[in-house]
Amino acid sequence: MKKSNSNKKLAAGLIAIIILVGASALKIGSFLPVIGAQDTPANSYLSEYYISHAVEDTASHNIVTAVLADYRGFDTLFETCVLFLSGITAVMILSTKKKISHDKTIRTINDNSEHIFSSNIMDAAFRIVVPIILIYGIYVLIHGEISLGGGFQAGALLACAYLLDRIIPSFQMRVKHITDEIALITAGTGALFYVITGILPMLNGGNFLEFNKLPFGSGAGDIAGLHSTGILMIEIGVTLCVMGIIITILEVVLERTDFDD
Amino acid sequence: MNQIAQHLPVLIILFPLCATLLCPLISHFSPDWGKRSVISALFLSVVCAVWQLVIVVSSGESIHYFLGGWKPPIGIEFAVDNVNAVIILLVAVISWTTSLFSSPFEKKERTRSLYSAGYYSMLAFLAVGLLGMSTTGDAFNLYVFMEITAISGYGLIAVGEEKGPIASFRYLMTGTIGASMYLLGVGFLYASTGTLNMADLADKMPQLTDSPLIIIAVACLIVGFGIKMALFPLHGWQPAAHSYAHPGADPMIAGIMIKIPAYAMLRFFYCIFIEDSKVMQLFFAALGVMAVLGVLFGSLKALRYDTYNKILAYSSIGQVGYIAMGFAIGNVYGLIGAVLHIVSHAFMKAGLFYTSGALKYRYGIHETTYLGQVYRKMPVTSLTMVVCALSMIGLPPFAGFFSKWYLALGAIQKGQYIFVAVLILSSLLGAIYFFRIIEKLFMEREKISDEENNMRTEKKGKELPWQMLVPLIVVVAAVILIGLFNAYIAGDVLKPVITEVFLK
Repeated sequence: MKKSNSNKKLAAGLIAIIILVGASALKIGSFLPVIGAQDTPANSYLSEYYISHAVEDTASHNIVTAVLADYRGFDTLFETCVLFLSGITAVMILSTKKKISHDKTIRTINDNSEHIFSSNIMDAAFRIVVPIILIYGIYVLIHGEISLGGGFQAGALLACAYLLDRIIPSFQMRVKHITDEIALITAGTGALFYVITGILPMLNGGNFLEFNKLPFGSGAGDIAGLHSTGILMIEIGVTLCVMGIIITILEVVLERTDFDD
Repeated sequence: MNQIAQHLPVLIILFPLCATLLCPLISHFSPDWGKRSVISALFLSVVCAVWQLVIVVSSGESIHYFLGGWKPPIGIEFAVDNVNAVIILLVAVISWTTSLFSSPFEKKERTRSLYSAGYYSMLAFLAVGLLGMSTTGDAFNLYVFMEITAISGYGLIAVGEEKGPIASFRYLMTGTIGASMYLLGVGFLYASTGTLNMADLADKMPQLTDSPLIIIAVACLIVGFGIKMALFPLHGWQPAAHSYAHPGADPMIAGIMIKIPAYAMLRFFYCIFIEDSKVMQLFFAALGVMAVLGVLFGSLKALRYDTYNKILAYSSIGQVGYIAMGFAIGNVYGLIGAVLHIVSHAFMKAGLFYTSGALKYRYGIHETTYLGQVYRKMPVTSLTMVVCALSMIGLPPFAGFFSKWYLALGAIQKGQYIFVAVLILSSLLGAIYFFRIIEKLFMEREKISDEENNMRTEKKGKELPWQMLVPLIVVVAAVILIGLFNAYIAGDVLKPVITEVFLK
């Protein structure tokens, strides 16, 4: 009785805090500059520089890519690392839980030569859908510099292809089973590829991630060539990392869940 | 040589970063070498940090490193001055010793090579995040590093003891709120200035002193950093997280994970905002109240517990209060005291958690009631415990005394005698709970019999593996050396920057 009373008080307190914060948020909104107005500091200082110089500085026709992968490439490196880290953390936290052996499902495949829920339609659909997803993923990766897209999306798409294979029951294994360890190594190598892209200019006399000093192309003046190469290299690194981490988390969870459907 | 020296700020971060990304691959073939690669990369960071400190102090100028070659405010900048360099060296040393310290734990718990790789990757990422937070000169980059620190912290707390996952979940919830508040504050700053570079923000502040958006941003930043550094009313996650974290990584989590947000707060308040303005004075007064309450609360609460880790965790709340008190005092001595306390408390608390980890490793205990006569079997551990405890209480010639001394000097100079009274009172309370531990260590009857002792350790007579003894010796040496050379550190290293940059 006493406990429920104190719970009620707690709830009342929480509601009061939420109302207070909400009300002050409404008031704060009135101090903020109008969205899209031209003379606000956010729109007239740095963003103006980015808009007017991005193409000339980085030869990237997509300003978002220019800021994300070039001007602030160092932030993106650590955003990628956050993903890698979250994959590791998921592995570590779940490693204390017992794995469920999948002997039962494997036996059904071997004995009856077909999974209970496998069907011809799903198998055929898989064969059509997966290649398209893979091609689209690579398109998004390579085209990220010019139009929408980039490493994060491409990695998610490539991982999607594997995910489909893993969750659609089938007559036989279609792709080689990737363990969480291999997936994690892939992710680490991808992020390391990003770091190496940053280290290469340092060997050539530049700063970390200074694409102008990459040791490729026709020399220092070739902004378009060097920046495109640099951006493509880090996008490949991001793609590998994102793909690896999604597969890692998927594998770690699937190994410990028993879907009976 | 010169070419390497020019890249030092980023190299310090790149060594552990490369090692942690390679760690799963190397561990796949040999877990021992994966571990060794991380430990040696962190050692290289220590070497670079020493080198950087020598360069910065001898030249008297700060280093600016432009990432990607873009000049700020267009790109991201690393800025290192004397104060920064000291903090970076501190983080590097404690990260390296902790990676060495947790090696026997990890070997005992290793079930497959991926476990070893995961543990060491998280540890190295914690180091990378903290090093980045103390190096960066960009407000958003600081958020990214804060996120890295937080996630690896969640992981290391969750793989700890039985209650670890719950403690980690609580920290995840509160920590996320803290990070969001910080991001919100940075968002408001960006909306009113249009830039994220800290030096550039500072240039734009004079026109905006009384702007409501800035006031809201400061409030958001206090809550954000306050949660991350476990300042008094926002400390709820801290005691459980620090007591149940992985015993190998606990020294780093308790020692520096709550200090670096405090240092970032110092950067924001004294380098970006105008500390003489009326509004900031009000905020400093509020910070002072939080600090005083935190010091008293932490010290009183620590008296109540018999678990070694809980006592240390609550005492940390009090010690973070001292640091905030230094910010609230806000004159030269106050700030020197705060920075010196960040450094000395990091070493002392890391040292005490090393001893806690050593006890856990050898006997599997955390209760102080079992400490009786342990000093006979573990002389080095007991020595570390005594030195760090005396330093925490604030006895000369250890480091803890001098940081408190500078804080008291600052408070007297500003006429805020209440801070002096609180300092003395909490030192007395600290004496009570630390002498209780020391008394049990030397006077109490032996609770752990020899038989049990033999069962729990493989080799009789050997105190600890050498990987665990080195950190203990490093910490004791650091606590004594910082105490002995405090005049040099405070006067020649910290004071010029604090008077010129922080209190311009």
